[in-house]
Formats: sequence, C-alpha cells, structure tokens
Amino acid sequence: MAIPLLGWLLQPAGVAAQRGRPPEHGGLTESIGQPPRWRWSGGLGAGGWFEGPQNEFMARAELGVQHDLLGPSIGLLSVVFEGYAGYRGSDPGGGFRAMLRSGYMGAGVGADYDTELGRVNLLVRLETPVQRGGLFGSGGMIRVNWYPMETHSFTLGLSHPLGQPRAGKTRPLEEKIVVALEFPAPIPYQVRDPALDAVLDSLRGSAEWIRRTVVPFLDQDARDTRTAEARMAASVDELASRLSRRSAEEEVRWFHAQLDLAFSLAAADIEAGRRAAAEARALLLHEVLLPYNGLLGRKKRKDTLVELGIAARGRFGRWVAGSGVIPHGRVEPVLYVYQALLESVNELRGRAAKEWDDPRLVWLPLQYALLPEDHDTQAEIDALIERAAGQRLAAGNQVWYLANLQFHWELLRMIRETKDYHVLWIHDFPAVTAAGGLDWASFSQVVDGYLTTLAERVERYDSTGSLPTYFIFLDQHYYEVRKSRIWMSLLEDPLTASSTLPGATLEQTTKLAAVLGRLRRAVDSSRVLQAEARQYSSAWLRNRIKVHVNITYQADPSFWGGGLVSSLFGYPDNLMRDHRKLAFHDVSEDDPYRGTAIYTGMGVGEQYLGSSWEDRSLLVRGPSLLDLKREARDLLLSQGIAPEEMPLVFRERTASPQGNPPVEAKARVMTLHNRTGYEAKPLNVAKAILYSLLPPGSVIKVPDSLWNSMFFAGLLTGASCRGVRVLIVAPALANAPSAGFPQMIRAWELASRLVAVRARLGPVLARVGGQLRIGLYALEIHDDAFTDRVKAWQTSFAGTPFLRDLMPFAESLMPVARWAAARPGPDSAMVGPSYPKLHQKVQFFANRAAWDAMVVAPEWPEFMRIYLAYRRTTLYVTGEYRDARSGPDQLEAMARRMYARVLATAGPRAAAYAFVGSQNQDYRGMFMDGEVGVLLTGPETLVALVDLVFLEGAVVWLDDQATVDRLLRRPGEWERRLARIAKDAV
Amino acid sequence: MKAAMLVCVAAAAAPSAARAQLGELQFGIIGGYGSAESYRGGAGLSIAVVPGRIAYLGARYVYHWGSTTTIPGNAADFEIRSWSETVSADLGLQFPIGRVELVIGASLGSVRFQQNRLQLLVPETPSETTEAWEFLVAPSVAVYFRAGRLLIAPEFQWGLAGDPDFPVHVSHRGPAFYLRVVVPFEIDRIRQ
Repeated sequence: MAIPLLGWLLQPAGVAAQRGRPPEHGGLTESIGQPPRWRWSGGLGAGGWFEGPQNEFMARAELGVQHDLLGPSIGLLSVVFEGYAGYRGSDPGGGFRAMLRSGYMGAGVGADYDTELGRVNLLVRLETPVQRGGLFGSGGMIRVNWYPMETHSFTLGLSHPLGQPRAGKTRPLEEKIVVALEFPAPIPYQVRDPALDAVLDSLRGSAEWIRRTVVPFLDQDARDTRTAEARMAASVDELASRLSRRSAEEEVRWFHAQLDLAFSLAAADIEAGRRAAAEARALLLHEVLLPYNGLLGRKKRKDTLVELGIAARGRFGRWVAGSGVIPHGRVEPVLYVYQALLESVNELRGRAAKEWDDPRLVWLPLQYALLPEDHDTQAEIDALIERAAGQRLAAGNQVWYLANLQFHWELLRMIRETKDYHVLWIHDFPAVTAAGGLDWASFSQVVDGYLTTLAERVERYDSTGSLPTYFIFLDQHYYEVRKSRIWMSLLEDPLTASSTLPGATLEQTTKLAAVLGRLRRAVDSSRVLQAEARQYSSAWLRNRIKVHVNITYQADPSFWGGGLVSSLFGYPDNLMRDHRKLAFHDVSEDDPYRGTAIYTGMGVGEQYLGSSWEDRSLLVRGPSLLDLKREARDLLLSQGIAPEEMPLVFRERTASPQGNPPVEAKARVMTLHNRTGYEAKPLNVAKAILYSLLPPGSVIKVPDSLWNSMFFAGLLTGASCRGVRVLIVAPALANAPSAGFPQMIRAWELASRLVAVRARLGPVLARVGGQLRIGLYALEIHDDAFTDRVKAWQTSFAGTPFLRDLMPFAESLMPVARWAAARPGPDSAMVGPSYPKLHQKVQFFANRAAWDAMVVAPEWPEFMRIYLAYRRTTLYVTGEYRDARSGPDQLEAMARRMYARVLATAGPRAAAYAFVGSQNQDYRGMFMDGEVGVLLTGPETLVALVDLVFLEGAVVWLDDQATVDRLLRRPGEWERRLARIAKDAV
Repeated sequence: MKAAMLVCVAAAAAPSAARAQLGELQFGIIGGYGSAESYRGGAGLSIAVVPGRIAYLGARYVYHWGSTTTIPGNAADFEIRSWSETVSADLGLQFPIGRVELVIGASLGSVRFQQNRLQLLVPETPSETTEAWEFLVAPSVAVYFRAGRLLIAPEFQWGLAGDPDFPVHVSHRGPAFYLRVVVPFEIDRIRQ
C-alpha cells in the first residue's frame, strides 16, 4: 500500500512513454485533467515548546490532505486533516490536526491533538510562498505553526504539495515586465541656446496638452462623490478652455511645427531641420512609442524610457552623423534637441503614471510622432496596429457573423464535422442550472455532440482508421461554480462513466444511457480498436475514447502579486481567469481552409441562449486561424505541460499551405489574445490604437456589458475632442448580465462622468463635429422578444434626432421595421416583462470617408430586412439543431456589395474595423483575464454595423444625471469607495 | 519642530492630488480621559494610513498621567501614584455617514503600567517604582468631523488591558474618551 502511494505522490506529470507517437500508433495524448478533490501536502518544521518546566526543542514531519469548502478556484476556505510525528526534547511523539484554512489569506486555525500530551491544543498556521511559484519553484511554502495557548510555542518550516507536479508552474514567475534593462548611461549633450530652449519649452507644453487631449483623465477620486466630480470638472474645464483656443488637431500641428523649428534652429538650416524632424519622428515612433505602448495593461519594472530612448538616440545619432544632411558643426545641437524630446516624453510617461496612479494605464500619444495625415487611411492605421500589436492582419479569410443561438448550433456542427481534432476553449460549461436541473444546452453538446460523434466515428473506425481527438480547455472558476465536474468526468471516461447524473430527468438519463451504450458497443465491436488495445493496453484505449479535459488555471496559492513582502498585502493570481471563449477544429498549416474557428463572447449553456441574452460570435475560416495552435500550445505550456508532453496536434510545425482559398475568402482578420494574468495584452493595444488615432469625422460604436474602464472612456473622450463621433453603450441595471454592486457602481461612475464631460465639452465638440454619446441598453420585453425589439427600435430612432442625423438611412428602414414588427416569434405568449441581458462585445469603427459612403448606400432596407429575418431565426430557443448559415451568408454577400460601393465612392481612404470577442471594457479584462478578440476590416464590418444599428434602438441616451440614477442605482459613499478599491478586478 | 510644523501646514494647504484612488495619511495629536485609575488624563500622538478611506491602519502613543492615592501604612501613610503609557496599533473600518466618517475598530498593543510608592513623612525612604507591560485590546468607535483642513475625532474606547502585578491594585480597565485632531494628507494608493 505504502509503495504505490509513494509512487503516486512522487510521479512526474503524465506518462513519459508513448508521448512522441501519434494516438493511432499507440501514443497517448496528455492533458491536465481535473483538479483533485483532495490535495496532499507534506511538511517539515522545527521550533520550541515553551509550555512546561523547561523549554524544549521540537521537530516534526507532517503529512496532510485538504479539501476545498468555499471558492476552490481562489482557495477561499478549505478543511485540512494532518498527522505528524517527531520529537519534543528527546521524546518521540506525534499527533493529529483538523483545521480550517484559507489559502487566499495564507492562514488557518484548528485543533491539534498531541498524543504525548493527551490533549487538544489551539493551532494557528501561517504560510507564505516567499517567491512566485513557491520555494524551489514547485509550490513550496514557508510554514509557521503557532500554539498561542501553549506559551507561544511554535514550529517554523517548509511545506510542499504532493502529487501535484504542476504546482508552482502554472503562472509566470515574473509579474512585471522590465521596461529598461541594464544600460550604460549616455553622455548628455549640452547646448546653450536661449532661442532653442524657448522652442523646446513650447514643445514640452504642447506635448503635455496632447497627452491630456488624447487620454483625458476622468477618474479623479476624493473623499466623496461630489468633491471627486468637482475635481474632474475642473480638469475637464481646463481641457475645454485649451481646446477652445487650439483644437486637438491644431495642437498636434503646433507640436510638430515646434519640433521642425527646434531642429531647424539646431541645424541652422530649415530643410535640414525638417528632414531631421522627420527622422526623429520615425525613430520615436518605432523605437519608443510603439514598443512602450505595446505594454499597455502590464505591470512594469524599471519603468522608464531611457533604454528605449538610447536605442532611438543611437540610431538618430548615426543618421545625423552619417547622412550628410546636418551641417558638420551642428550635429551636437541637433542631437541635443532629440535628447530633449525623448526626455520630455519620458517625463510625460511619469506624469501619466502618477495621474492614473498606475503604470499599466500609461499610453503615450502616437501623435508625438504622427501628423494627422499619417493615420487617416486604412493602410496607415492597419500598419500601426500590426506594428503595435505584433500581429498581422491576415488576408484571405472567410467570416460569418453569428447572433445568439447560432453559436450553439455551430459548436454542435463543429464537433460533429471534426476530422482530426477539436478544441473547445471556454470559461463556462455548466452542468446544473439555478433550479437544480441539468443544463439542457450543455447536455446537448455532451450527448448530441461529443458522445454521439465519438460513437459514430468508432462505428466507422474499422474502415476509416481514424478518430477525432477532442480537447476542452475550461478555466477552473466557473468549472467549480457551475459544477462542470459532472460533464468533465463523463467526457473523460465515457467507457465506464455512469449515465445517472444529478438533476437529470428520466428522458435525459435514458438518452445518455443510450448514447453511452452505443459508444461502448461500438468499441467492443471494433476489431481494429480491440486489436490495437491488445497491443497498446487498455489505458491507451481509454485515452483514445475520451475528451481530453484540461481544467486550466487551477488554484495555486504559491502565486501572488503586489505584496509588500512575499504575499503580505498582496493578491493571488488565482483571481485572474481565462475568459477566452472560442472553439476550433482541424486547423492545419497544410491547409488553412480545412478547419474553422468560432470566437465568441458567450459560454456553453442555456443561460446564453434565447431571447433574454444578447451575444455575438464570429465563425472564421482561413489563414488567421493558424495562430490558434500556437496559443493552445502556449496555454498548455503555461499550465505546466512539458514540451515533450505536448499533444502532437499542437506541436509547432512548418508546412507550405496547399489548399486553395474559397472565392469568398477575402476578409482581413487579426486575432489577438490577451493572455491570462501578467502576460502580453495586445488586445488592449489594438483598441487603444483605434480609439486614439481614428481621425476627425470617424464613427466609433462601443457597446459592452461591463463598461467600467475609465481609461478606455478617456481615450474615447479624447477621440470625441478630435471630432470623432463616439457612441458608448452599457447595460442598465436590469439588463446587466453581471450586476454585482462593484461593477455597477463603477458603471454608474463612468456614465455619470461621461454625461458631465459631454456637457462641459459641448462647445468644443460642436466646434470640431465630435460627439460623445453615452447610452444605457434598457430593453423591456412585454409581449414578444422580436417584435418588441423592433418596436423599440422604431420608437427610439423616431424620437432621437442625433441618431437620424448620424444615420440618415434610418428613415428608409422604417417600412422594413413595420414589416418585421408584424411577425412575432414562437414564444409570444410571454408572461410578465423580461429584461434581456446585453452581453455582446462587438465594436465598430469607420473613418469619415467610409462612413459617409456607407450611410448613403441604397441597400440598407434590404440589408436590414435580411438581418431582421436572421435575428428572428436565432432569437428563440427550440433546442434543435438548425442550419442557419443562410442568414450570415446573405448578410456577408450584401455587405460585400455595399462595401464595394463604399470603396468606389471613397477609394482607399475608406477605413472600417470591427472587434468581436470576449474582452469587456473593464480593468479586469485589461489587466488580469485571458481574452480573445478578432479585429476585422473591410466589408464584414458592415454586418457588425447593422447589428449595432438595431441594438441602438434599445438604448436610452443619457443627457442628465437623473436618468443615470434611475437606470443605474446611485451608490452610497461606502459602496463607492469599496468599488474603487476593487476597480482593478471588476 | 517649528520647521516640521510649517511643512505640515504647507502640505495640508497644497492642492489635492487627483488620482484614481486616494487614501489618507493622518498625523495628529490625541488627548483624553480614561476612567481607570491608571489612565485618567492623557495626551499623545496619532498617525494613520487610511487606504481608500476604507481601512483604518493607525498607531498611537498616549501618556496617561494616572492618579494618586494615599493608603495607610504601619509607620506612615503611603502615596501611591499609578500611571501608564499606551502604544498600540489602531485597526478599523471607516464608514462615511453623511458628512462625517465613522471608524469602528480596536486598538491592539501594549500598556506600560507604572506604580510609584512613596512613604510619606519619611524623607529618607526612597520611592519605589514598579512597572509591568500588559497586552491591550480596546474596542473603539470614533467619529471624524472635518473642520477646514483638519479632522476632529471624538472617540470612545473600552480598554481591556492585562492585569499588572502591582503591590497596590488599581483599576486598569474601563471606558475612555479621546479627542484626536489630525491633519489629513491625500495619498496615492499604496499597492499596484
């Protein structure tokens, strides 16, 4: 008994053998599996026993097991049972313990029965990992056992997890990225020239106003709401005053004129100065601004631009000295100007970090290096996004924009069509509903999808010789909350699992038993499988006929960040979750068009389906999917899977694409992953580029279910100051899918402040044609989910002049709306009002050239008709699989026609983008959680647009605080403070 | 001292920072009266950090002059003087209620009790002073009023100190009232 136990405790991750071979040749596929219900640990400690006639030395070895009671994914509360043995003085002894422990707090308290003393003692335990990943990088902790009632006797020692080979390996060891590595101190240039210094002073002043204009800070705190809002008002008034004298664009042009002047003075030659300024801008952009901004949302160490600046200065110095443009005697003054420019930008970085109270939120305006004409076309903005985010906008993709229920259907279709492998990478796969029953949507995916498909493929195995390999990547948080262990245990071992599940109806149990029986019969009947199992073992067979479950980001108390010393006053990485939601299959380097992927904002489960939930997905086929294998590989590596354990389908390989793209595959797509925790966050960067650079006259629409990021709100306010028309939509309290008080208070603060900002900036916005509209999605369904939406749209557009001005095609849509309003759906017999939840994370962007051409397209009525028909199809739950692709196909075709007209009218100056993905507009999404987003350009953006046009019909646009207070509850002061403390995590 | 006061005044008068999350740093004086014989009138210093204006993390030092009593002796009466010094950490939660802030918490720390015994009418007899350090827990409630740049905080506390082993027993537990006058400074958040 002891030897097998020891072997299990000390086993390495996975089984070393059979890893390099494909499954069909006897190889095993490695997976993380599910978190254990009971976790073992061992410890060694020594200390003093002071209760007695004399002080005694004490040494003990401990073996314990713990079981989570509350919040397993963050280690909120667990029960621990332990035994120990050792010496007190010269006497051997031992005992048992039972404790309540909070891994989150790093503390526990309980009873210690000492067999030698024959009594129970109070025990208090403190544990800390000392360093990220714990002692030895394997989750070990410093452990203090304290007996406060026994004259403060104690032991100090180490503890170590047992049987958890990935402990200490599931998060990055560094929480901060080093901005400035070691660098030699450059020799500063010294120039005495009062005229030059005056110009540089002017340049610095202008740079500060550019910073405040591009990302105005709106999140001022104070001892109460009124004082905080007064501070914000004062700051905005200063900005408004400045902008009334010099517009945002004029400020940027002034800055660059001063830069040209400074270099011209330094070079004593106007033309040479201009060329030097151009070179300086290019190097500033590529060596300093873009690399630094690429760290948006990440913690930073040695946060200074000096090292980046040295690279820029070095290259600039080389150009100055070697180009022959700068007169020989003027090299030093020219380099002095560049030095001053870089120092100024570094000062502004520091000021922004101080103002936002967080270096993660520093965004250096690219306007320091770009003139307005440098970022007003699709090609220019594309290039900047690609450079900043480090990703390509891949051409030749096919895209379908999916509404609501179609995600469920497409996921089923994907699972059933999979030939080689399929990955479901999701944050929620619920087993039970709030009412205690089995979640029918998950049941459908498990039974109709995975198990039925496995059974069918096994039945054909003797002739085909192939079986698909299924993977599920599911974050531990909702896995625990929604009792997903029920599904995962079934899928991990369908050959022996029981068909009796908690909460299942008789019909469900019967159906499950039937499909499990079918699968097992198929396995038993397969001569090839049975022959292979005899060769490769029954373990191989179980590994072959299963879904490979990977519960990711399992609780690991050895990872903390932000602590003063070790984990003291820190917060655990366990708070950071993988919020990515996507699925893909058969993506292959050989043929980029073989597989497809769905990117979505929703999870599996019935709560996401039906008319009470607004969510969108994107189905993609094409070369942009190739990154997914890398992301899956990196996820598994980050979770402690060793490279040699990596499932073959995810391993890196190079191949020349063989497949021909379908004729329709023309979409340009960039897939961006914010990795979980302290890793790269390119999705933030791409958004910030678009918010901060779209030129005057552009339109930006940003609805979101968790609109809490004051930083993004600041960028969008800055956009409106440039003359961009910005429409921000958040859910009203009744329509919020995540309506916890910290989230809603931050949403209230954001809405309140934007309403105030809009009023204070009114004249400035009017002058440049900008708009800053904040609205709340406040839809109330009384009769029919579809027709009520249509009627709300009719009423809203008829009564909202700015919408009709912005979208002059709206009038032409009224007949279509009347047609749709007369076609209720199948569940029109609804009882009582319902409040659909706004959960979709779709954003739309167009510059003036594109927008002006879009809004006059004559196809709008037909476009809206197709859209409404499709929405009606995907709004009502039937529980049955449907092929609804004709809707997205028609929408895509229409969008291509319309966009061809846009290009014909506006030419290459037209720029349009759309984002679809999982990231919310909150700090949690920016700083902590894993997120995925797809950036589209071109025709496909129009499908997102028609969707958002319809969504805006359910929005109450905010002009006054009373409406904000009515639709979002005004918080009490204590709640406001609590929400502000928790703002990074909500 | 004068320079330090000037710095404090200048800092208090400076325009507030307008960051995204502010706490307070508070420096001030504290004075009060405890009913126990070892306490009575007292005065001292108080310092606190209030992250997010939610959690109150402070420290105080208070010298209590205590009380003097006379007890009969064999040869002559004894004058017994008992006094104390409190050094404690103040932990609490701060709740805004209208225009005032309520802080509910407790002081955790030590009290240095001292007792001096002097035999009266016997000049050559040296006085004897004994001392004892005892653990202190003192639940408290305080209300902070804003008065210009200052905060004024009356506080009620119930001291539960350990029992000092003195020749003459004097009371060392019970209610106490304090008044704090502090200068608050807004500070950025401590952790990022």
